[in-house]
Amino acid sequence: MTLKKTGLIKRIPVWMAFPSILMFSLFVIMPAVMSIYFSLTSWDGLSPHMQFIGLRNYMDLIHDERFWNAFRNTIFLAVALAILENIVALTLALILDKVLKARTLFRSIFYLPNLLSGIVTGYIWVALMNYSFGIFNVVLNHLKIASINWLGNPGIALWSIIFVMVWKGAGYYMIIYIAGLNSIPSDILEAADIDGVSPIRKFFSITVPMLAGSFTINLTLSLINGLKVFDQIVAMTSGGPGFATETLTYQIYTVAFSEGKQGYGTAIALILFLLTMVFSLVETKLIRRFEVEV
Amino acid sequence: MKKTLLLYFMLLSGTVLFANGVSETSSNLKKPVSVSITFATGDVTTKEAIHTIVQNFNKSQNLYRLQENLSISTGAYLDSLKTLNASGQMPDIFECRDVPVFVRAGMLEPIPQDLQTLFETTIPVYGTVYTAPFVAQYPHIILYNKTLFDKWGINENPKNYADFLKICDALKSHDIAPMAAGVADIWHIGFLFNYYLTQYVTHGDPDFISKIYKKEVKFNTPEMIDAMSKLAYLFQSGDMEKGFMSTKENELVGLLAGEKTAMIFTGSWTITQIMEADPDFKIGCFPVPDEKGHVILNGGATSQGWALTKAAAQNPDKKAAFNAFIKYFFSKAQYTTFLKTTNSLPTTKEKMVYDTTPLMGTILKLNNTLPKTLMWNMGVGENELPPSYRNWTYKKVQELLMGQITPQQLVQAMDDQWVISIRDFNPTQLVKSSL
Repeated sequence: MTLKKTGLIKRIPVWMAFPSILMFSLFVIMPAVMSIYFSLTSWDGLSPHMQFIGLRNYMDLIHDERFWNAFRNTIFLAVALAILENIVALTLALILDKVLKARTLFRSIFYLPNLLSGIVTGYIWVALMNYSFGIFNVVLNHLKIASINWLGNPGIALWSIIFVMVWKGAGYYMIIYIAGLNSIPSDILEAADIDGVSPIRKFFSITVPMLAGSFTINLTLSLINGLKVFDQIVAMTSGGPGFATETLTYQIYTVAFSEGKQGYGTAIALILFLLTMVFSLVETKLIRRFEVEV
Repeated sequence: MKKTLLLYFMLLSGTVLFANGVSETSSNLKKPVSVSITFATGDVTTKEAIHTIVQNFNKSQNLYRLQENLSISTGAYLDSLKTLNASGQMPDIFECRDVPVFVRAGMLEPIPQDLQTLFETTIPVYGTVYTAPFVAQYPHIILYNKTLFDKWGINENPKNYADFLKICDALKSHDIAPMAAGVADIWHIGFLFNYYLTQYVTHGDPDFISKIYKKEVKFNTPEMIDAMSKLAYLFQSGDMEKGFMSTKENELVGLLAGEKTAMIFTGSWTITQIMEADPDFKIGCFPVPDEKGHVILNGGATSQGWALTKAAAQNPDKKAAFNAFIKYFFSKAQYTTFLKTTNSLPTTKEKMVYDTTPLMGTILKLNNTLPKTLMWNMGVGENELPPSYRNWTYKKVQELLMGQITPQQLVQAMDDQWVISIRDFNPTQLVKSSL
């Protein structure tokens, strides 16, 4: 009886987790597994007939110039975003760590853009960056500087998207860095002060190693966000001008839905899945080496 | 016994009467049949015009209630319909734009013969009519700021293409961008691409695409290179507003009304938007002629229109609702209001007479007198473009306009992409019985 009771008690966590496992399997695992089959088919998304074509979608991807362009854009955007977002977030966190007055107010201000939807912020920035009517060019013109085509110049458009994403996301990562800064024992910093360590040396030798945990989380999250960015692309450039800002997620959407090639779109989605997995694993493994136990 | 019989008779009569009464009452109180309907809502004027007719239809009778889904914009219309279909929420009646796609999926109910007789022209897809067309394709013409043209003495419409370029030069000398185009919306750059393709390459041949499928013609020809060079010249010679690559179609009215440009190349629906932006704005219009002064307008009947899904047609009430709605929509009172509000071109056999502006009168006259052909991507049957080909081409055209590729590279790339695109889709090899 006691044994039975013990066994039941032991199984309680399993039963408690069961609904979540069921839902996760039903809505994440199962579609993911099914998508492997879909990637081996030719289907327009409407027709009841789905044709099995083996690995042809993957073979086509190898020769698809548009796919490789989107691949390059995705990696560039993800890496640039991860670096810039973290530099801005860390800078804000370090400044706010020193600010004594209205610290909560500033935290809220910097965090606020993160609460807005990507589509909404995208459209707001499109209006601000508009070539003819946008405030940016109006200001430039007042300064006798020629207008810049922020979203229509292929050399600038991707940077404009990165800028908006940094503006939107940095506040979130800033909060994680602030939490990390707060967890650094003050006695270590005081000891460094007594020893006459310069602020720069203190930052690189104490703060950065002790923030390694925050770096791991933030770099992983921002990299994954960069790899799967979609809403800002839709709202700001629709992948244009030409194919200049087309990323893998945007290509998946246009190919699968607008162009009626669901199988091909799913094949790209699986490549993106693998890319995200590899990037996350490698990055986590690399950064973990620098983590320090406090 | 007599009493018993009388009682029995009274009870029976009462039951029958009561039953009749109930039956009558339930018939009177019968709930109207609910029918879902959706349409592309990108253009606010058209959205409002259709919405008003749907509301009027609901008020005009008690048998059917049309429930609108007004959340689907034009840009992602097909995508949204696919999503609705996948989630089992496909509307019963919908504005069908990519008709062949839905026909191949076996999702459309043919239009009954009595409804087909309402229209001047119906376009069969694989031999059957599936849609009730509610607008003929708009002619694409130049709409210009008449006040500025008068002020600068530009009083004559161009007689040939050289005249048109002279007008552009005259406007440039007054420090204004001669033209603007919504290049950021790839479908809008399609208007200018289609103009040069039709005017200089296909010369209005409605079977041009089918000939490409049959390898009788290709894109990489001197005519096509010349046409694309003319298109690129407009954008690279300063004839176009400088920010064209990020300009969206919905900004054109602001650019024209705000005197940042003097001309836009677009369809007549834009007139309503311009007048709403500035009721005092004076608009002029002209078609763009080629070197010899010939004009082939974009226009004519298309396969797009109202459609009933096969699933909804299984329900006789919904089928009856569709028939009733189509008759109501194209009734003189409703349809003339729709045409007038949206500045659209009618599709009905019955002549629709309504007051219109002198400008719209000019456009209607041009439409009735000049030769017309459909846009290159509007063909059906053997002239249907491969699914992804149009968008891919327009993206490449964007690269041409930015000077990233040459006209020669564009047309060669179009031929190369064609080979890839037709591997899974070649309507000239489709067997009708397989549909």
